[in-house]
Amino acid sequence: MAVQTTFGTLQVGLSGLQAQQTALNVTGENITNANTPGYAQEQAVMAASPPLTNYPAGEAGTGVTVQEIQRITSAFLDQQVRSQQGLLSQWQSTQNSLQEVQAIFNEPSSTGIQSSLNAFWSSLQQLADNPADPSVRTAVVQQGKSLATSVNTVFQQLVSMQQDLNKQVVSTVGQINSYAQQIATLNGQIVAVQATGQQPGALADNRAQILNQLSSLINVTVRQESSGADQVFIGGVPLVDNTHVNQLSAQVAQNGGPANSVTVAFSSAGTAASINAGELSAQLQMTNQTIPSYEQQLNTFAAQLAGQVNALQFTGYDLTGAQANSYSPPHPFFDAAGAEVDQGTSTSYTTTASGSFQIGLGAGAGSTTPVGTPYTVSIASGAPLSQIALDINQQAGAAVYASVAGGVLQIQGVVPGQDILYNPTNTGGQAVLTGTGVDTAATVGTWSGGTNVVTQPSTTQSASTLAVDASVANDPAYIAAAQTPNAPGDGSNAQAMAGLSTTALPVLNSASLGGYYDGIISTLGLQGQQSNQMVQNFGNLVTQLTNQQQSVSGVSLDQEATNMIRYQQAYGAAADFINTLNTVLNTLIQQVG
Amino acid sequence: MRITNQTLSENFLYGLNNLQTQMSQYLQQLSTGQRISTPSQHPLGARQVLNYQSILARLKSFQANATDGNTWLDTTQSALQSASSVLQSAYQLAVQATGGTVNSTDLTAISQQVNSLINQLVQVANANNGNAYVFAGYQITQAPFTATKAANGMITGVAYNGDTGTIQRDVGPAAMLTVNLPGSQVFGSGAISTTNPVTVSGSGVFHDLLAFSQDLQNAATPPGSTTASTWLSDISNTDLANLSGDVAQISAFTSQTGARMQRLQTTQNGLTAFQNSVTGFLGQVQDVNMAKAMTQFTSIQTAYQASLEAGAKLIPPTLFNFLG
Repeated sequence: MAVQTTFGTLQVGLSGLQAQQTALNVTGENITNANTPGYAQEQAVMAASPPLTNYPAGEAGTGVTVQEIQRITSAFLDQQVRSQQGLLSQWQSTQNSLQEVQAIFNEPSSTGIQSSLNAFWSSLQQLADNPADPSVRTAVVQQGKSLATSVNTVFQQLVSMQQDLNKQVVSTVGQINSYAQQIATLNGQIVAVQATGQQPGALADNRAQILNQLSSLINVTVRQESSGADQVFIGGVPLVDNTHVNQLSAQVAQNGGPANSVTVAFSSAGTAASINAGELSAQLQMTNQTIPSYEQQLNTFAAQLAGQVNALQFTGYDLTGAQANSYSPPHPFFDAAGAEVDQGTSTSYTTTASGSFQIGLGAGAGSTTPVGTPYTVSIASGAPLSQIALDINQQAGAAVYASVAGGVLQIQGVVPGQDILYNPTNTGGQAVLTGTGVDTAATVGTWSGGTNVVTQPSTTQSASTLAVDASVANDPAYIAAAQTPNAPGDGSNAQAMAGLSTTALPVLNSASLGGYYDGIISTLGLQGQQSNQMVQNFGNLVTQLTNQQQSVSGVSLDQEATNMIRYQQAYGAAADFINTLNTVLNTLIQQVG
Repeated sequence: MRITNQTLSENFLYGLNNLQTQMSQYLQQLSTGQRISTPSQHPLGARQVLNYQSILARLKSFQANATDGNTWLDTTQSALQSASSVLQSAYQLAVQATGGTVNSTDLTAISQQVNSLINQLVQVANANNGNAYVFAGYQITQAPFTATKAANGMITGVAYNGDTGTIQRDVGPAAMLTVNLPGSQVFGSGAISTTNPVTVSGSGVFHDLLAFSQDLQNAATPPGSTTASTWLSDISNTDLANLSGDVAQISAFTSQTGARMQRLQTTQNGLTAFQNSVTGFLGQVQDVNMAKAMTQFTSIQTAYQASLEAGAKLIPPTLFNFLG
């Protein structure tokens, strides 16, 4: 029969002192870390010590023990916050970039491309009124130059923004690798601590904080192992596998152009990473797709501006009485790579037989392989050039724009960077255009067994190369303002050029040049608006989720203050208990002694 | 829900930030007076602003074209009025010459007056609006009419150096207005051949005047076997009728020009009205409604102040403040 020892009761009091002290220690830890990011509140979990049994009166208590110091978290909420934080960062980064793009375009303002374009049309109207006035001619050249410079500048700024973004992608990837390395190291430490049966509180807090930072850079999912390690995945591929890091690397494609695209892949396996959230995703989207689409639209704008103005310039007569087209080399108004108009040589061409031919777009500059299905244009017997142009626009309008100016058929490519390919499909078709309708001087190659591939020299550099041609810039008398030779008072061709301000161009989806540019700006505005709204939405969501997370893991000072009193009082009581026991023992010793 | 101190302060900051963002937007609107400073604030509005600006730029060009057209028509009109009075004087002289009480000396004097009238008309027909000779067709850079004179100062020919080019001004969507009259149509040209028998070639006003001048000279000193009465009857039969026809023709051109001026004036009024309404539309899209913006700004400011006060009271106290 077991007997309760006298000093055993002292031990009960001591365990109380120790447990309350530990709990106070945890409270202190909580209070001091109340504002530490990533810190989760801790709790001393107390339990009654195993009792002594076999007493005549039943069980006898042996005091209290602190079983563990628990870190209170919710893995579900942590993952929710991380994934929404990733989307929020993505939209914040997109929002910042779009604000920069908007600042580059600088619309609506009195200094943007739109107002330069308006000023250019106005100067042409003035030229129409005063075709012989050298100062008005100079003004047209100046406005043309300032329009070209505006377009060049916007394009160059877009390109340099893209280059900056490419650098940012490289540094973001470096940051991700560094976080991954820290997580791997912490994994090793946590597993080691947990193996000894201890709770790795501070280490886990650190790791959680790094995971939060990582998730705002890239989409990650985390799987917690029972060993204590966190496995981190990007699109199903492990980034951190226990203590091993599968590093990412960013590759900037060196294709010679200004718009180098950048890809991110796992460096070991070389597999592309599936990135759909976080800052990195926004940076990649912006540099690989959004900005190139604006560059592409500016190129189309510049190519069309140059092409349309030049088409009129070539058919008009300058102040010396000569046709701008008659010089060698001809005197265009604008230079822009990719804007060249193919010109025919026949002035009164009529088809002799009905037939058809194909028109397509080459896969790239200099390519004679058509991309996609070519357009078949059928032509009736006896059709004049104007009808042929109409037929081409109706049946192949997506690839080319045909017009008749000065009795000559002109075929113009609509997509900068792609050549026009021409292929007669039967003898009738061959009779239609071979050598007479379109420029035979253009490069002729072969197309899958066909003949007469007319290629149009073009590049994607229209917006960056747009400039007033040197011939016209040096002597504004070469602007072809007249539609009749030797007529200094004839401003009708300048009038026709000014009329381009409202001409709906099939190539630009039936918008005018100004309307097409307005469309670019309104698309930009819509994208910007969307990003603003998304930042607002995800901001609210993240705030709400963080509140929930805080409600589980956050430190409440009121609660800690209450706990402190609780533990303090219990500590005092336990001390009193020991004191009382001491008196009891004293009495016993004195009475017995 | 368990609310921690961090939740309170984070939420407070988030709300404060939102209010500040809104305040800065309204502040920008109020300070610039413009509702749209970046396209993302109002994508459709930004597009409308750009579109209205283009329309206004075009209307301004139309206005400038109309003003320029007006100087052409004004110059043309006053030249035609001068031409009309020159021709009327010539007609008076023709009536005077055929009055029956004129002698050879009188006829010489009249022919010299006619000569000076022709000289005057050449100057009138070379009217210039400051930039261009208005009766020259497309050849606006050089005087369209040049007179050749004999040694005695008499004009023996007036040549037209212009062409029949039609000069138009773009004064509105699809509204091209012709602003010139080619000099060859209005004044014609003429030349007196020096060979015998003397003939006058050409057509129009100058031909008629030269023919009249030559007839007067012939009447003053009849060449060969001719008599003064033959030439005087030529004047009364042919030249008088021609000159009165010329006066009528010039007056027809005057009313044509007047009609053009009226059309231009109507167009200009229309342009001004259109310009006003587009400016109005632009204002509606672009300009800040100050009263509305100010009210909204004030209400956000109130919310901001309330939030600051609440924050100041809410954030610091914890149980610790009341212990000890």
